[in-house]
Amino acid sequence: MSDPRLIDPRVMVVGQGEDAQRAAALAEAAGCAVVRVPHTGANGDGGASGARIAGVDGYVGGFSVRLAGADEAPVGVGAIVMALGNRRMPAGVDVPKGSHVPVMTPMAWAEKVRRDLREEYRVAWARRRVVVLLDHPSDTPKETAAETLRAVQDVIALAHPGIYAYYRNLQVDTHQLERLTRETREAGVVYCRYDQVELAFGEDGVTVTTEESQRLGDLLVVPEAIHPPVYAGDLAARTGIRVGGDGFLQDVNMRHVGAGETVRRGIYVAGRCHLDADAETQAADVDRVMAKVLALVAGGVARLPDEFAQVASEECIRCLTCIRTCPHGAIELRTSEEVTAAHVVPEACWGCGMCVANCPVRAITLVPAAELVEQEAV
Amino acid sequence: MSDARDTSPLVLIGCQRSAGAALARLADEGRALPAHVQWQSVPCGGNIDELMILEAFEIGAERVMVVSCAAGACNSVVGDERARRRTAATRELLEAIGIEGWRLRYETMAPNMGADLLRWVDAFVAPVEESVGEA
Repeated sequence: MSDPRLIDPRVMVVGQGEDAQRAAALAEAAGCAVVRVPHTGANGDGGASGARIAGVDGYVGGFSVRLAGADEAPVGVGAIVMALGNRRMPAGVDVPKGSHVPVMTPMAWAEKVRRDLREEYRVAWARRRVVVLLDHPSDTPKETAAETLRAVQDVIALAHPGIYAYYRNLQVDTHQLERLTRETREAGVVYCRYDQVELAFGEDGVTVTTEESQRLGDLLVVPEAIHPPVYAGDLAARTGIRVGGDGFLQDVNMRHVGAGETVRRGIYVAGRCHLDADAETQAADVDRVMAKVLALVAGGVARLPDEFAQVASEECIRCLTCIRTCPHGAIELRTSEEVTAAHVVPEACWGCGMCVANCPVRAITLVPAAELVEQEAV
Repeated sequence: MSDARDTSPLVLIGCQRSAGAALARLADEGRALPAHVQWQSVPCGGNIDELMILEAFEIGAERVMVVSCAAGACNSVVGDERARRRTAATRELLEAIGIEGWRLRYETMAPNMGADLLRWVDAFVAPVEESVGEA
């Protein structure tokens, strides 16, 4: 292994939500200097100087982060934590522009009712006709249906509006869901089954038309869908980490024990931006990832591999063996000067040489790190 | 009986994170491999292939020992498993061309097992039955 390099004790936390705040608080509590970057808006959109990452140079322990729009010198940090969070929004309803009908998720609805719980609003809420739409456009999972009905119960306890729950395929075959449907039905919720539903947004509210009925509601509640952070792709492209097919930031390798590490050593993903789980698990994930980050920084030194793998692109037969073999996810197919060949991303390569041993045409070699730096310079 | 202190050429191919680190610790303690052992470091057990082992025999080794990290401890996740399978495959090749399989040995170790490594090297001799037959 190469000589140890000193690790910059500063930690960059990217994001501005709950996960980022938790990560930053943990780093500060451990005595690390924290650099916060909200990374709001895509690059090129304008916006506040220094609010987004434009690129990351360097290796673990000594990253040099270029910030978009910032004239000042790049920021040096030892580790970077991506904690962008996710987007939770009403699922599958196209609300026309200019519509005044509010569309909310169950949690947001219950929260709003709780906030508005003053006498003058209590009467207003009691007069509202709320349409709760399940299974649109696809079936709502049972857990989400239960979560929605719990929110309905909360709202009934606070304000008692007229509530119509539309469902297509609500299988009440768990004790919890049976109890929730029975209690809400007894509390006055009207359940309506449908096969096809049409929503029409108008001046008076949203008209819900099914095979059997037509009803006007002035608030539409739909279960929420979880989406990846909006700028995840942009951020991944600029930092050399990866996004999965679902658009969420991706860990280096699911076979690794302990998620949170990306293909680029020293850059971590934490919380909701890479994990779909309940709030408690997500918070625990942030804690676990930050423990790794703090251990890295507390270690004081980082060692880089002596050698990195390099593919002779003219010899590569594009069999993808190396891509399948690499335990660090460091190899990808790239096209350069009309030649498509495997390419080793040096920032992700650990120099283990597994690809070298497995390449059927021996197109991969380990080259000394110093040589690679010279090639990059040329 | 065979000579328990066989000093014929031995090539030790090992992962730098386990065997390499163990040898560095031994060096700190003033101990080293015997002179007849040639140390060949690889970045990971997964880097070892049949050709590398055969080349060791080609350059004159009488015995080759392949050492990788303990199962589950490989920094590259599957390097130890690949080294084990490659060694087994090479042993079959050796036997096919008339070289005894005992001449190739596979071990796993942690960086704090330097003393074990020295013991393995010392104990890496022909099996008793074969030696008696040869005698």
